Amino acid sequence: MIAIGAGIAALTGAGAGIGIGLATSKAVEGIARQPEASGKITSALILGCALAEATAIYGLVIGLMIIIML
Amino acid sequence: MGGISEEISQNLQYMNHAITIGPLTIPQGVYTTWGIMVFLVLVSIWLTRGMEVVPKKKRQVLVETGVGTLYNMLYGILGEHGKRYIPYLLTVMIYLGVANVIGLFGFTPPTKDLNVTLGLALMSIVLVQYASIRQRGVGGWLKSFSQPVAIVTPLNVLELAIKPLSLCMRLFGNVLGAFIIMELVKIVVPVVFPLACSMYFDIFDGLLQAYVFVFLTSLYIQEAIE
Amino acid sequence: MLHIDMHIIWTVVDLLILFVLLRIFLFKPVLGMIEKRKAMIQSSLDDADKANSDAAALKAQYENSLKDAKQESFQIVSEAKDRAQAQYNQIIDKANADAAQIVQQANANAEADREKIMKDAQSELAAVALAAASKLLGTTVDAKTNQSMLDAFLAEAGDGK
Repeated sequence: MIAIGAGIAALTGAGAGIGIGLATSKAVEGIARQPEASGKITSALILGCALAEATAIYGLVIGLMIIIML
Repeated sequence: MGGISEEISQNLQYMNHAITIGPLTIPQGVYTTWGIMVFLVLVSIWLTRGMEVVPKKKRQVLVETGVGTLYNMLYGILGEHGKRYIPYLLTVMIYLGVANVIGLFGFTPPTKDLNVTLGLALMSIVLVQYASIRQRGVGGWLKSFSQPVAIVTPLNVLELAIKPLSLCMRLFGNVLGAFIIMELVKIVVPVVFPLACSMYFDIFDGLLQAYVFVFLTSLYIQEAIE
Repeated sequence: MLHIDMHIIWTVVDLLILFVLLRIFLFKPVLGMIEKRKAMIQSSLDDADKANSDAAALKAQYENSLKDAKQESFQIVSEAKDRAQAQYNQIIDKANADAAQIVQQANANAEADREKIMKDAQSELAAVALAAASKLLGTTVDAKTNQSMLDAFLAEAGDGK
């Protein structure tokens, strides 16, 4: 049961993966359209990834806690 | 697998490396923070020695470039009204940056301790509410909970608690996850791989998380100041 | 791992102390230096602007006075020319007047000389005529008769001239 719980908790990575993938595709499109703005687009992309990764990390932490503490 | 999990949980034990000075037991996060404080003060004294208006030495240019870049970055978000909050945010950014990277040097990062991140997050939220009160007065602050529509008041009040929680857990989760994965990697391939991984986790991820923490706080402050 | 207790206070206190310390040692000097440099650059820019505008005003002033000086010089030269012209005319007139006067004087002198010479010639002629008459008559003529005969003769001769 513990293992199943931890496995489900690890599924939150899927959301983050999809979200960051979409964001990167839009960012690459933007850069292709206007290469001069590539600096700004890159920094916005990195910021967005860091924020989106947070929810995936929540899942990771909960999975770890389940394994280690329960 | 039981062996590894016990090892890791042993490492994660909260009071694992605490120091006892008389009646006080100081946990690891706190005395690492003290070490970082002393280090930062010494470095800043050394860097600002003998500064002149027209710089001659490289280290004055270095310091000015660093502080100036960060200051301008925060100024771009906060604007003219928020200028008074920038030194505190700079302090947090420098502290977090050093605290996250210190894993590279063999110490354990103080942000691995939930208390440290929680303390930082609580101070950020207090700062945001203080900024809001200062800008609008106590009445205005209470009223700002029911904007833009009166229905969202419970959500706004809830956000008061959720924002610090998310800030704290983001930072804590990143550092903790990096730490655990490093431990696992060290158990599997103890030779060169940890160094490469550490490059990504500690330096890039750590600095990024520090920046994101401060950036989000400044965003909340700007929202409160309007 | 997820252990929350009073050690939060430690962290908060630590962070506040760090903020105060860094503010004293790092931010005040560095940010102050940046501000001072900005102010110095601004003041030197202001000085440069002021110097520029002063120079422009001075240039305008000089050009003005240069224009005035040129005008004045023209005026002076034309005045001098007029005066010279007037003086020239005056001298010429005076010279003309002098010349006329001299000519007139010379004419008068010549006239007087002619009169004198005629008078002399008349008396000479009278003496010659008397001598001739006396020779012709063979006798000495009376002085009074001589004189009246002489005057009639001279009147004719004089008229005949």
